[in-house]
Amino acid sequence: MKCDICGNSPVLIHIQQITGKEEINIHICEKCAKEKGLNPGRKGFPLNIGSLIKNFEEIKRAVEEKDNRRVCPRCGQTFEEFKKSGSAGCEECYDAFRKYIISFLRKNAGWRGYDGKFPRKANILRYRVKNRDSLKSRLARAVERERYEEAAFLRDRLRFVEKQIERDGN
Amino acid sequence: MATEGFKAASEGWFSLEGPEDDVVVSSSITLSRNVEGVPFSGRMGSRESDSLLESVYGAVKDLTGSGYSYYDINSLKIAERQILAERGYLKPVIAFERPQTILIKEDEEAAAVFNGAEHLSIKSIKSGLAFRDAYNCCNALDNFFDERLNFAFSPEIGYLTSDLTTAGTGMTGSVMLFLPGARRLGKIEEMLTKIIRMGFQVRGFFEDSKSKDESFSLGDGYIINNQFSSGKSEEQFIECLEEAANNAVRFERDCRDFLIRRERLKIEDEIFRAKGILQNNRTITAAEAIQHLSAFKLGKYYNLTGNDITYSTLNCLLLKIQKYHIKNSNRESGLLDEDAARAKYIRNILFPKDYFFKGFFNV
Repeated sequence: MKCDICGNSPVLIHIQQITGKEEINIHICEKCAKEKGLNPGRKGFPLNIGSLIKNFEEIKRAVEEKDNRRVCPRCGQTFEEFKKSGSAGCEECYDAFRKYIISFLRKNAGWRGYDGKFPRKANILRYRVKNRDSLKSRLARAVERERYEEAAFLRDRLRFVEKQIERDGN
Repeated sequence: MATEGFKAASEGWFSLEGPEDDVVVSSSITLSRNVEGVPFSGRMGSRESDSLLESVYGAVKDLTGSGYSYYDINSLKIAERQILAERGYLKPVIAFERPQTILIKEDEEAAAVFNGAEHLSIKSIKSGLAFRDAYNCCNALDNFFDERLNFAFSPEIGYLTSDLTTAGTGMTGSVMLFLPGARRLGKIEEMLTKIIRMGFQVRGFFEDSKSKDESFSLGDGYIINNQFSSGKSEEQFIECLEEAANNAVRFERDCRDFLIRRERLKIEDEIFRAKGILQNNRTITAAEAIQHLSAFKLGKYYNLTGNDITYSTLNCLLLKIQKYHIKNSNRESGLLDEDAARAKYIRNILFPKDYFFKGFFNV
């Protein structure tokens, strides 16, 4: 995993903020942490909590700025433009901004996976089986790490895709 | 098969009867699709737009002789374009930046606009509450293009569209409801709030008739559509839309029945006044006509109109008294101004036997 601010160095500090239903995860490297004013704590404790609280807003802003500069490699639309207009420039935007799109659809439209019509040429069953296997391992990992909210969502998606496979397989 | 000069069909979905058409004017389904490998409308250059239309043309050619016509929208006359807009196939814009084309079946069972906000939007409108019918018409055309073009699709999200709200099934369903009873009883807000809570969007029927009072819409017409195209399958969306529309129909009929018991004199007065105006007017604006037609239609529900006019005729009138439709149907005689032509048109449709009341100048 690479740092969310500079994008180069390996991550040292993971920060998670939960406000109501919203969850923000930030991962930063040692160098960026120092630059943003995070100090090591006393008695060998890696982080001084006071400095985190003081500087958290700025860290969030830095991560967001970096996010906004992300660009779709095909059509050149930036993430900032995309968020503002809500319209994709090409099909690859859906890959480039996948995380945001999924969370947008999940929050607003109750997305758990696609269950509609598909083009004749799409091999949907193979995708679903692959998707089921990846969801299974992600679910196991989430449970192991005690991330129960994420696990609940993954479990819903897993059930959904299992039902689809069962329905289409017969 | 590009055809010159659009001829508006005089018969189409709007002249047919449909289920529950005392409350539901029409239902429509739109499917949005984009072609793989071509940038979406917002990021498209003129070369890409030309090559898109070329590949569309290659597919459309196969439809020759099956009752479809294909038009280049920019080469249509403004009046012809406005008629397509009034029928709900295009946005009422005077000029389009990029070339756009439209494919339309002679009986207007289904139509498709190319190179609009999405590469393809397939639309079908039906009289009354008939989502399944509309969806089947769209689906047939969608299958036809699926065989000839590759659509942008991801198995995780579904059909990929420029607008995030239509990503997924790409399907938008909308229904036009006529709710005079609920409005007169002051129940309209309660009802619309319920519908919005089910995840639908609500807006007034005639968009340019903005009123200060938000719950009032000209002619008591409201349009309901699904806000997102993700999270459900086409089948589930249709079920939800049908449920919302059916609830509205029941609620509205209850309101009408209650209203006539409580305020018979007032309602009868309003309906007979509306009838009087529609029967005798010599010049009338679209907005006024819509208002009186709406009251007249309520009168039909109470069997007060005293003639054998059907709901579908009244629903059809709402479409055909719009500005460019009137201009079009009046082209031959060419004598009257718009409002006078509208007055004559309405009288001819609703009271064709009224020779006695023809005016001095026979207008």
